[in-house]
Amino acid sequence: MSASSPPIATQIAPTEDGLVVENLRVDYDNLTAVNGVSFHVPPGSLFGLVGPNGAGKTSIIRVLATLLQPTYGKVKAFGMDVLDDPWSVHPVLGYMPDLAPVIGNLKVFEFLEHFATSHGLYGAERKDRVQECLDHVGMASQRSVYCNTLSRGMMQRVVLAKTLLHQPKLLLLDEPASGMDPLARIDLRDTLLALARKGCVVILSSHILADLADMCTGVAIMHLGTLRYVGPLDGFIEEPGKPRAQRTVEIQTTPDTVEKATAWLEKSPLIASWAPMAQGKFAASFDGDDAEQATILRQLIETGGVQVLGFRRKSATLEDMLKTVTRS
Amino acid sequence: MNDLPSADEHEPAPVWAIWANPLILRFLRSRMRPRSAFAWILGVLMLSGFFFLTTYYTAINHGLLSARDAARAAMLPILFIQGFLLMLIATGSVAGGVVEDKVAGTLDYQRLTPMGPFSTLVGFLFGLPIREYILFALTLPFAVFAIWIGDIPIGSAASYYSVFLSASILYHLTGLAAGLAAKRWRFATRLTQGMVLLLYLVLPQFSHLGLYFFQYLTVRPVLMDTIIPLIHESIPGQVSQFQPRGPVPFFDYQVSPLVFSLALQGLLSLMFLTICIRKWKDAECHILSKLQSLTVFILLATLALGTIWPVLTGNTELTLPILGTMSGARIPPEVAAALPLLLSCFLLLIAMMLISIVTPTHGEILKGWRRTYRKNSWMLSPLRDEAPAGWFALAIALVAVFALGTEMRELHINGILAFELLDWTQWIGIPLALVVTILVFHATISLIEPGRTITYLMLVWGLPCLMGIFISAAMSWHEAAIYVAALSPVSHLAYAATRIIPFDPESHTLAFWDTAGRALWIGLSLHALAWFGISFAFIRKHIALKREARN
Repeated sequence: MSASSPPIATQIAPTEDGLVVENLRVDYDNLTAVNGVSFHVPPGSLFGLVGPNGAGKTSIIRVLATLLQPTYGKVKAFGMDVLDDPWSVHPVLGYMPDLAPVIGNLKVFEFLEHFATSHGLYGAERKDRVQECLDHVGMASQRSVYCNTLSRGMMQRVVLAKTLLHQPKLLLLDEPASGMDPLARIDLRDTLLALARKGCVVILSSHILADLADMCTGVAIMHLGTLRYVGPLDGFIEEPGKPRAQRTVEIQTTPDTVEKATAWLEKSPLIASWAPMAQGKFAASFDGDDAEQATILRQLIETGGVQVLGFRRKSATLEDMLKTVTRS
Repeated sequence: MNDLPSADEHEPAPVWAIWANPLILRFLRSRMRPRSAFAWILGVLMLSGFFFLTTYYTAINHGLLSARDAARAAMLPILFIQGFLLMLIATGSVAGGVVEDKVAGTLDYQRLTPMGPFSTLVGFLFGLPIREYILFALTLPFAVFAIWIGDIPIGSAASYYSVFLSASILYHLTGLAAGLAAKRWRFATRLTQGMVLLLYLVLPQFSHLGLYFFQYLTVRPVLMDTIIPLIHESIPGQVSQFQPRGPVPFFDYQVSPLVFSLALQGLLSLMFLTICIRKWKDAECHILSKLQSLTVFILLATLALGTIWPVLTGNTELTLPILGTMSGARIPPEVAAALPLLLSCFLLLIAMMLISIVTPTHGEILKGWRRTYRKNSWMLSPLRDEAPAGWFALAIALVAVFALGTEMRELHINGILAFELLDWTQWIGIPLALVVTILVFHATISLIEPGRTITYLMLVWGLPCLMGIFISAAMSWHEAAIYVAALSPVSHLAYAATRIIPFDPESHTLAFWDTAGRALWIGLSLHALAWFGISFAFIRKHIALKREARN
């Protein structure tokens, strides 16, 4: 949890195991990239780092990966001090950077075998593990292709395979799905969920919020280097006293009152934005909580004259959360 | 967590198991692909075979040389090809390879494996130039044939090859260190080229001026001592031209060239290895710590003094291209005055390089204070990279003055320069100019940050000298030119050196001598004042940074 900005919702309970980040600060000369960031991720969690560009997500991931020395702070992974003794963490650490580079002049299986050997896997064990990982990411048929001939998405799959080679307990993935096709993203989600079920700590940053919302057990929303929210996805809207979030409701009208609904949504000062959906449905966003939501329903029926067949709040999406915290 | 597979039950291969080093296996695969490797192998075998066999059989079949002498002569092109492969091509491969990995980002993957830094560096050092090592091995049968038929003593060949390999590893380490230290591809390439040129081509030229230890960074002295005399001995009429140089005079000792070369290259290799390990462990740290830099400076000052010492004591001769051979009391005062100037310039060059390395940026100082305050401490350890390097500059200035003072004392004791004829304002010029220049350089770099060193050098060091030359050449205002040039620290040392030459009062250059003396003191006074001003400005900046860190 952030020291400088209190969390909006409940934080994940601290634990001695898993990943513990305390009061982290990262400076690049005169620019403070990360300030006062604290969070705890228990084993078996899939934790998303969300925020606009320059929020500090990559800096945090690089610190956790022991590639960047923070100005100060504490990071412990499975009881090991990541900053004081980075070498002890390397055997259990898997890191996949943004853009996922590969060694171009090696073939796919050579690339994986190289890193398998670097992690102490030799002989038949190495070959089996490489094949297993290639199968897992769906690249077995490309094993003898040179890495520099792969597409972006394929490179990411290969690097994911490399990251999984030594069966890490702490996985750090920076934009892992950005170049992947939808099927590969589904595979990635399944893989990460399976790893989390096995007790791994998976930290990932992504701009594809829908993917994160689908699989993360917790998120940290960052803005301008500070943590604006840390906690479970569904905890965000439940916390009392939080800043007014932007919500989206789904409205189902009868076919003959669609025009009335359109006119009311157009005029209403309560509605921030709206969009028609199929079969007389509308999605409308507004700033507020349950009270505003009730007011909208009442006014829609009373002043708008709309026959409302269905009115339900769409669960607070990660996108809503991000918009809310960055605006606040 | 029960079914979580253990990731740390595997151990990577130990350092000594080079054959199992993953990096060597990687480069063996990527750099020895059959298609390109075959072309290289064919090329090297063809060239080696052509030059060797042509030299050997032409000499024999035309009755020019005996089989023994022809084999010796045929060894020369093989040595050239070997040097070309391991020293030139392989150095480029190491520097280029490591920078390529760094820029691509795959170096980070390697950092995160459980392989230790030493094991990784060994992998890069012997893996990146693996093709060149294999090609080198292919030329060895020709060399072995030449040694066997040519009756070349095994000791000579072993001496040569040990220094050849040691020098090659040193060059490769230079490339590796430059590749790891530089942040940008283009800069890394230029840095490597610059370092290799400076260390192994430019600096050895100092040997003509007495600092001959730089020669021993190359394979040349041992080659000239072992193989070349044997080859030339075989060619009628060439015997007298290549006499072995014999032991290396170092202070009052005589050291074998082999031992001297290996020790010197070993020391430099150790320094580059230290840089590589530091940069491998922490990519953001300075390439050398303050203590390591001070040790390097002391070692280099000792080496410089140790090699010039025998010239001063008359134990060895100094051979200058124009003035010929001289030693001890036979050295004329003009040359003798150049010796402290030369040592000062060398020490100043090294000092500036090390100061640029250890001086932190303002961002680093700020970070250092933030860390310090976080630990509830009020003292930023002066040994840390983030701490200002004032004490370091002072220590380096003291070591430089000690080395210079020792040399000047020896010049005096051996009757080369008559310091008793000079007043103190004359002989103190060189050490004072050296100290002031080092301190002003440090203070300025601290204030403007190391990234702007080149601009500073051009403006403060270069511009006044160029203006002085212009005023003298174009306007013929010679006296004014001397004063203008005195604004540059470059001229301080030169003017100070002229002050220790006892001038003939009747000489027509007396006016210049007097003007240079006055200009020196004006220049030094200005720089001393500048040092106070710049130091004060930096202290204010430092206080502001501390305040910012506390907030």
